[in-house]
Amino acid sequence: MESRDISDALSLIEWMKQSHLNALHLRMGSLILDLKRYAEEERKADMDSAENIERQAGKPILSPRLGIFFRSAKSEDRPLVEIGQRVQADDCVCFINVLDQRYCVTAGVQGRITEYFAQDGQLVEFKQPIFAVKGQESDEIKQP
Amino acid sequence: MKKIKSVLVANRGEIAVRVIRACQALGIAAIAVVSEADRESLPAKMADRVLCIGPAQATKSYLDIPTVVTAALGAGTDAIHPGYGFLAERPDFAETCVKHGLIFIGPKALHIRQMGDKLLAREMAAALHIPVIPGSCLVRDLQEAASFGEKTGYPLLLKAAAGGGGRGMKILQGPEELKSLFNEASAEAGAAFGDDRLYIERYVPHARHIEVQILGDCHGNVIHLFERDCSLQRRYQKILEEAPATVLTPEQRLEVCEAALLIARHIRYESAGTVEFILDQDEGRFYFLEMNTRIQVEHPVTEMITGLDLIQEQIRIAGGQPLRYSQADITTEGHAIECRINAESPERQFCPSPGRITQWQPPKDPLVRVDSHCYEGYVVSPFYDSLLAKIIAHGKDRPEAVERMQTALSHFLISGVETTMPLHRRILMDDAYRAGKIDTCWLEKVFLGNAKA
Repeated sequence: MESRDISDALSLIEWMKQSHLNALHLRMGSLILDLKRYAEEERKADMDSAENIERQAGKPILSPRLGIFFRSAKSEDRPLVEIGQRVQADDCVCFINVLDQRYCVTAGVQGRITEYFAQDGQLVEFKQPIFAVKGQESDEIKQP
Repeated sequence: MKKIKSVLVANRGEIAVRVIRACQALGIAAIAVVSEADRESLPAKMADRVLCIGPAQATKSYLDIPTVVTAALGAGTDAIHPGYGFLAERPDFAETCVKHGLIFIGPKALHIRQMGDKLLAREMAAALHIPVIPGSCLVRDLQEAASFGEKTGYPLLLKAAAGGGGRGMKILQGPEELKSLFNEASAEAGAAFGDDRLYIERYVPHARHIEVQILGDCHGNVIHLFERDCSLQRRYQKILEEAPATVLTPEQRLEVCEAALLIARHIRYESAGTVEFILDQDEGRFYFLEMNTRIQVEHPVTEMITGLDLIQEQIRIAGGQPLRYSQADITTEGHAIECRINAESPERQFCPSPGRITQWQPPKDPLVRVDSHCYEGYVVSPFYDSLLAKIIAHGKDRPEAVERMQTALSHFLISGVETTMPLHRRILMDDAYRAGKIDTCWLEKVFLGNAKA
């Protein structure tokens, strides 16, 4: 995959955000792009089922505690992980704040982040899926 | 004070159901927090929103203060009701709620702390000229306990300064028992409360446990809702409670209710609370025991005879409303009995009996109330206390309430787990119980003692 393809894909995502489309399936050579817009209800329903996530997006990373979810230490910082990024089992992928305590959540598995299910500042429950990770074997995005 | 629009229920089991019902009656949203083991529980099904706060172990879920408070803040609730047990009498919990802008539906942290130190509470009662059991003093070591015994004579009672529920409590029949029981009590208290200090007092052999229900608001109004008799106990755990206490003369009732009011007024107590006394039946005298700064398990018997809803009143008080009743408004009607039905086997030393409830058919009688979180198919978890249901029966007098309870117990069908219902049926048939000739030791020493032989 070339950098041109990535920037094309990113602009497509931006374009879709502005559009009224709910889903987009696109194949450009070796690049396959599957975009789906989640209504709030749907997102929640999907979150409820860890099995569902495993089937669709990969192995879920579950929140080890109830708390407030943050993808970065400070709001101006870049998120610790982005979709598509490779993570090791002991990589910190997000923070969960419980009152004055901040806990780092490690991926627990090795693979590529395919999805995140919570927004900054959102309350997440104990064992709520917060990310999905796909391992190398089932990695659908082919390396060049 | 802001209006309470939503309440987080920081508890489980029947009291969580009870609090959710009170919220629903007041048009307030109820948010349940559950451990992983309680995801399928009735509170989870009834609440407007459910949040899973942690694993089954209570220390990592129901007892985890930062997590419970974060759940309340994250869900945008206005207030937290602690129920009884768990965090209900933890002053640091009440403080943390207030610090984060949440209303704690209960007394002030200061009151919980004041009354939580049993020795300080006794000193306060004594200063108000309320009788306390002779002797009550802290004993530092065996020698001090021995000299106290020589001075006042036996039997004596050793108690944990920090606790309740019978842990660290030992009856000393004579000086020869002192050495072993003192060390046992001290170790038990240390293990249960992290505080091995003990106090010693004269043991009252033919005692009744009488307690007075109190309601106070933040405007300085305090009323009592008369008394309950909770003398039927096993290992200091109440089994069956009644209201009113038929053993009392009108003068004694007045005396004990006034004493409870005196303490509550003195500290300007807010919310529902209970002042406990020991009635020495041989001498006809009351002694202050302790004050519990929470709603109690047995609160429904008071509700049945007064017609008030104590949880709803707690919520109103926490919202800053003045009490809706003056003392003159509080009257009682008839008699109420509560049986605590536990998933335990009375035949096997009250060993817990967890498992799936395969049949659950509560009695249908408008004068019988069943407070429970159970249903057909519910799995009674081994992680928590074994209370399945409280059956509360009302009658125009005590004999009618006893009869109604008998009928209710015989119509209550529970299968899948063993319960203490057979024990309650036998108690209600007992002549000594029916005649009211019992004391706090009767159930264990006489009734169960006889049953064993």
